[in-house]
Amino acid sequence: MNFKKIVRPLSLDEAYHDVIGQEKGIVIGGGVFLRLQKRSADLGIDLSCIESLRMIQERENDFVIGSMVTLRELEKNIQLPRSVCQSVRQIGGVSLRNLVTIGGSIWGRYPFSDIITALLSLNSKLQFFNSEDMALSDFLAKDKLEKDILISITIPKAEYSAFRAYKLNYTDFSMVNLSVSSTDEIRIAVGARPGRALLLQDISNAHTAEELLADVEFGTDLRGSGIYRRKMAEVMLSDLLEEGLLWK
Amino acid sequence: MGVNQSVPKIDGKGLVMGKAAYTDDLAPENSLIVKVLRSPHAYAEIMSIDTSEAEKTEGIRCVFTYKNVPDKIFSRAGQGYPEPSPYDKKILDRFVRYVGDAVAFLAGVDEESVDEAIAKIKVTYRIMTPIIDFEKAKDSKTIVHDEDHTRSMFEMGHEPSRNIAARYAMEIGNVKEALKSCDIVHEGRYYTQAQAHCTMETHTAASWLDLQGRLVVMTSTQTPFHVRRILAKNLGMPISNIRVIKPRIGGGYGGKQCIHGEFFVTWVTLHTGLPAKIIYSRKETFQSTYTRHQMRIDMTIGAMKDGTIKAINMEVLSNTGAYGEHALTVLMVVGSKTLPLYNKVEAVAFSGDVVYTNTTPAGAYRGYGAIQGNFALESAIDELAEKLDIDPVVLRKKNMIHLGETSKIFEVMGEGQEGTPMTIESCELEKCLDICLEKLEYFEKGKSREISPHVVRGIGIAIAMQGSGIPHIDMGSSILKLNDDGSFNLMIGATDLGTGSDTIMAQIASETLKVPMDKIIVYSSDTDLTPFDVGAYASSTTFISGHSTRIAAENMIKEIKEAAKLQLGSNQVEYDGMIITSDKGDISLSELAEKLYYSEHQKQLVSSGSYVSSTTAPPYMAGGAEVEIDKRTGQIKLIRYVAAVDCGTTINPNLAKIQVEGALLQGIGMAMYEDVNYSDSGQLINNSFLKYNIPTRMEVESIDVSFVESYEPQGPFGAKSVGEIGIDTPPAAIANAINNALGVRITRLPIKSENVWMKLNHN
Amino acid sequence: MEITLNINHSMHHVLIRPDEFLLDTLRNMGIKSVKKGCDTSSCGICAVSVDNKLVRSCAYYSIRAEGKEILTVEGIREEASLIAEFLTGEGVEQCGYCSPGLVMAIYTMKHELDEPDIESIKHYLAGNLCRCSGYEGQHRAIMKYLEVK
Repeated sequence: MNFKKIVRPLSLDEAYHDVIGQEKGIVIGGGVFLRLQKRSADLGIDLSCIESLRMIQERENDFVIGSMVTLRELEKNIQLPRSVCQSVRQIGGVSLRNLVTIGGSIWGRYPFSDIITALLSLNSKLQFFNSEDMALSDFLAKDKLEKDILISITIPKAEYSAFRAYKLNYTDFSMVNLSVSSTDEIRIAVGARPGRALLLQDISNAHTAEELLADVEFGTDLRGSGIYRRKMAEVMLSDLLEEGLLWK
Repeated sequence: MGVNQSVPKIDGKGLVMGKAAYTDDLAPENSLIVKVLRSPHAYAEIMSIDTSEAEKTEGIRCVFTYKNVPDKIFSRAGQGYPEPSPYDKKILDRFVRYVGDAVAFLAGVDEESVDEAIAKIKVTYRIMTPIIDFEKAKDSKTIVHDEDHTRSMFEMGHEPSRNIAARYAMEIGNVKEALKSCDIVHEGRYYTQAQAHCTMETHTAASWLDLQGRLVVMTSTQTPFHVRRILAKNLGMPISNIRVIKPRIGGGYGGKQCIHGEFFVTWVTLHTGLPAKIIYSRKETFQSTYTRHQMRIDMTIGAMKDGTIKAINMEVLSNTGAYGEHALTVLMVVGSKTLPLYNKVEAVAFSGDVVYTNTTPAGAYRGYGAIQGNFALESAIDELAEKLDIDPVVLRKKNMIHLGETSKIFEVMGEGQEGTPMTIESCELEKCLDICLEKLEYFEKGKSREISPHVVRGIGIAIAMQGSGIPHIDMGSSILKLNDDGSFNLMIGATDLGTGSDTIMAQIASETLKVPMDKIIVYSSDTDLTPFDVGAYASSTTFISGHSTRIAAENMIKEIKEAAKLQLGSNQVEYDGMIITSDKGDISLSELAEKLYYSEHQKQLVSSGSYVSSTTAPPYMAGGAEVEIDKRTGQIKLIRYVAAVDCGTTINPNLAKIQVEGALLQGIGMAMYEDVNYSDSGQLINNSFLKYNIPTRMEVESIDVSFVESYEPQGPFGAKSVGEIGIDTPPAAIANAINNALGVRITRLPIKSENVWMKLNHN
Repeated sequence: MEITLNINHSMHHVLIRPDEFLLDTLRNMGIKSVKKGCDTSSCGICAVSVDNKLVRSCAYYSIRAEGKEILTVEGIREEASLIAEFLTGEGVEQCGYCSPGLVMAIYTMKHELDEPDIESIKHYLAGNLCRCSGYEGQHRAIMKYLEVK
């Protein structure tokens, strides 16, 4: 990705003005995956100078994470639901996690994303500069993203949460990942199928892991076949259900 | 003084501290940037190529296509001369034979202008059907080298019309008859993949003209003297007009034992008079350099009920990709560096075809056939043991090679030619095996045990041998020069890839000359300033070049004694390193040196040493893997890898240990992680570190390497090679461990959890 | 465009392309310890410290480094020299190409991990690839270095 110009707005207003401006503008979060894309843009809008986007705020029932918080900051924050930290631990390496932001990871809606799976199972909500607040699941389902700025992510606290992934080596993209959380309800998300993460519906503790995943579509790519992904997901899920003692 | 000491590498601290040391660090600041336009097609003829727009781009100095570069055919392999590889490559050709083959190259003042211009080169291709599957290549309708332009320097079965780059066959005894008389015969087919070297420094070269107008090439190479020869012959200029300098290089493992960007930069420099450099991208390195030869190996082994192995047959199909660098020699090593392990057989046969396909060319890679052969042979031995109901360790011990023994194979098979008969003069293989078994608690724990209802562990073993240089071919030389303070310049052609050979040579010189290490100043791998050496390959540097340094040092002692006789006026002098004694008095080396250059009987003392071996003393090792597998998914964890190595005297125990630890992890990478896939149209899919997984530090819980010292009479100070041997055992040992854990035999690399699971459930 | 960077304890005015990455800026300035190993931000070899955080300079926009303290091996000579003693003491620098990035990772790790043990060390350094050494020797060296400190 090449930029003819990069601006560094100091406020959200200023940034939004750049985003909806005349030039072909692209928001730069961590910039790591943008760098790999083969295209160019007139304007890059770097959000790293906007202090409010870099905060992690704990409230009674949830956490509000600024979109420019890095994965490394999430990994080191022991207050956050455990699955969030677990989901970022194996991404790239410390020197990469110090760059990659939560906002960039979400906005890209990458199908291989580990953190999206964790956040989806935690029932996270997104706050934008212009649009209404939106559940992460709705955001993932949208056809097209309009020009906007993701400001923060609200993550509800959970009694239990866990994330598992199967990777071909420690820092590889996941072949399949899975996250479970429980508070009032049990929420299970599965990602890197290799399609985008999705939430399991109609969860009942009468079901086995196999039954829960029966309707989920798993596909084949370089990293693994659909049937193997399914098997992995089933085993990871049954281990997590046992670990969390959720299926008593 | 120096030998068998873990002295730090003489260049180590400078490298860690990030001093400018590699080609791109040292290339002239104002070098033109050279890039190559790569073919998007696996097989095509260039019908037209229009570079006019590219040439007009601001900042562009020159653009070259097959029309304006020398039209000569050669082999890029950095090997002995004449090369045992077919001549089938041109600098640029009208035909492109794999995705990533060179179409054109250009040079400009900066990367931006070159990138802009390269997109403006217009090429029309006549696309042809490629042959990607190496098992279908022989006698395929698609002929990779269809023009009658290739040739071999001697008979190697080169038949391009059948897509055969080279072939070889030998038989000792009568295998068919011997197999008939066996109680049990095991047959198995094994596949290994085209592993990528993944040197952390990509292939880099720079060139410029010096004050005398001579061409200077600085390049990340393992073979500076071969580079000079190949450039001279094909650029059409005398060797005397070319100087090749190898600075520090960021990893080699065989991947830099060939010509890569050297032709592109030198042609630009010769045409513009300007310095130029090329830095391969990571994608180019994956796609457009070399890989390990992909292979299919068929094994037939016959034995008697008591475990006596009577006959082995090994048949190989090797994929050399679009060009045949190292095609014949890698093929031969598959057999020559594995089959002698079981030297008591009545009959043994080896044969193979090396085929051309429209894929990335294969070349030299650490192990060089031995790792492929080892996977097949050592897997097959375990399978045979199972059929015989004999413990595989017991079967190995009964049949493997020992000290004082020989194998007819040494005499029959060399590298690209006949071999050399030899008797094993050092071999601690059995002790190596015992150490591994003890550390793994093989007999106590058993080959397999349950850890929990889902989890099972297994232990697997493999043994290996390699060589130490190529007899009668690999040549190394050294020059020593005495300075006026009693220190010595040691000038060596040997090529340090980071393995520490500069340090090893200094240790050998220090030991022989009986002076401290800091009296030896090493300069290596510069064709103008250092003597000839074939380069760093075939596990030859310590064994071959090391001897040359020893000889140079011994000759220097003679020179010093002669000079001392004159100075002291005595016919009886003794050399003791720092001091020379005689019946007429003593003189220190530094005193003598000062006199020699400033006051009395002035003379520059210089000595040299050259060495060619008549044997290739094999190092040996045993490796053992302990794996843990989740039976539900087949997920494999490598708990630990234990290895014991006999490489004779370890000249530098620390450096030898790192050589083996590093080689093991590369072998483990090949065994379990490094997958290579092509699309049907011939696009290499695993062409970045995002899609090609090399092991991180988290993959193996522990690697445990120990040495069993032996003394190799043919080696310098008892040393044998250690550079390659470490890579050979992991594929077979891990496959054997998985089989012992689960009863599932995987015969195709890399071994992925998914394959284990598939085999468990869908057999 | 011209920016001002604090590199290895001194201020530098540098001309950069707007979307230039720190890796190129530093190498163009002659800071050759920073090496390029891949084009996909995968290998960790180009790691430098920016405000005491380990980052991959190949994916770090140079303009983002304005006002921050950039350190490479050249800027932590004493500490790097000590780390180098331990690495070379085990002989793990082999080709040496990944070593400066590893030194920077060890340096930031020492300041970041309170009670490092072998597991946390390995996890911290997992993103620093090395193809030569096999890592075992690196861990021996690092454990010795951290015990000394």
